[in-house]
Amino acid sequence: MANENYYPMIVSWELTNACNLNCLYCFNDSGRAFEDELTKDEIHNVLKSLYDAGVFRIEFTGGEPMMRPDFVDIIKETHKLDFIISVASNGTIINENIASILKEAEVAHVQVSLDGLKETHDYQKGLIGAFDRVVQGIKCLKEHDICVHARMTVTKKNIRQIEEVLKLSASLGVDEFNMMRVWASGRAIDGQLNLNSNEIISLNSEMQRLMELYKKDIGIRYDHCGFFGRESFKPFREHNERLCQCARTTCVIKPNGIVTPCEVLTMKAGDLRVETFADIWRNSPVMEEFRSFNPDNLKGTCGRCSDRNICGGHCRALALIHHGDFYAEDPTCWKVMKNKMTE
Amino acid sequence: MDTKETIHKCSNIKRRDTGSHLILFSLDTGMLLEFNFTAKFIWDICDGRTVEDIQALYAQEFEIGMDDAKSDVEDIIQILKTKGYVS
Ligand code: SF4
Repeated sequence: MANENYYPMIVSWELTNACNLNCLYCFNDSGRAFEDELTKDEIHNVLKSLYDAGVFRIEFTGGEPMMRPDFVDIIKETHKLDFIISVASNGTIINENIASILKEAEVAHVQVSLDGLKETHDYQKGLIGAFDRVVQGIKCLKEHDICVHARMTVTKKNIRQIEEVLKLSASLGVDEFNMMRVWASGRAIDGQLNLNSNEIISLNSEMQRLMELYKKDIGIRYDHCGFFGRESFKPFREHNERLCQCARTTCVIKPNGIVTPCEVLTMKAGDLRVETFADIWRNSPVMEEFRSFNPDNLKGTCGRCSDRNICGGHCRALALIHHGDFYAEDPTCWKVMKNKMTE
Repeated sequence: MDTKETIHKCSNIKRRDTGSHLILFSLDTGMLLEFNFTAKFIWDICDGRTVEDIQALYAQEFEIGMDDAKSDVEDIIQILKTKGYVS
């Protein structure tokens, strides 16, 4: 169903807004389930709609997707329709039953949050005991031979624990360590947890060092931090392609069936209760707006940056949230921060 | 190309049929391959048949001469092999 150049390879689906944790940085401000979340029957219809549109991969997220009482049924049904499945979870409610269903469904991986050692993790996740439970969850997944990715959201509070978390992940048999900087939206919108420019620059060097040191023990991925020389970015550089794939190969389904191009920004592209996924992907003006984004129209530091084609101004959602302008500079980039200091 | 060679689909390939097109996704490479109607026919019969059997069936299905069928089939199979979709 490709819209000429754009094919919906991956859909990230927030099954619920319910969450048993209270992470300091949750960009969705998750907690309670919404009243209008999709029912099991509606989810069944949406799965068929995604299949008909040619989607290959579904990443179930939330909130905490495992909070849905019908989570395992949804997984089974998704598997029956031959989707590639991955799950992003806080890792605290994984049990034998869930792990064995995930294994049967041949999930590609389960991503769990691991934000620090015990005290730091519990602090960032807003629950004492969260660390012990996620470690238990990882062990349970590995006992079922499921591929696990540990996601560390790096903030001011845990930036000095990266190596420890990496070593812990490797010792637990985690397959990939995945580092992302905190996103200044949702509960982290006030920027208190944000890294400053020097911290981001040293974070990038530190990740390069850790990559060399531990790449034999565990897969490692980390966000670009505003540096684009890495080998893995070569295809993007060569094809003049942006890293952000929102509305190009991916999009998001909210718990109530609203489709958005981006998980941070709740711009409504369509409603799966009344439209098919293929129609929304092909015809939504919101999708079109994302696709027609032109890095040459970026403003401020981003507009003058030689990396603007591959970077695309990092996250347009952050520009819109913080400046009310889709083409404004991204306030969380180290180059933007440095320029502000010298202005 | 050895026309006696048997051609098999590789495992780890997912497919989606969108009517006129067939999209294949390789779990190993993460790459998509989009096929038109005729290439789709060839893909569907890469099930352990020899190249020459595939060429004959292709010629019959689309009512074309063997010379055209041979080059079409060889081209498609070559692409599928290079990209790791058949062996
Ligand atoms: S200045 Fe803007 S375009 Fe350049 S790296 Fe930073 S966010 Fe990206």
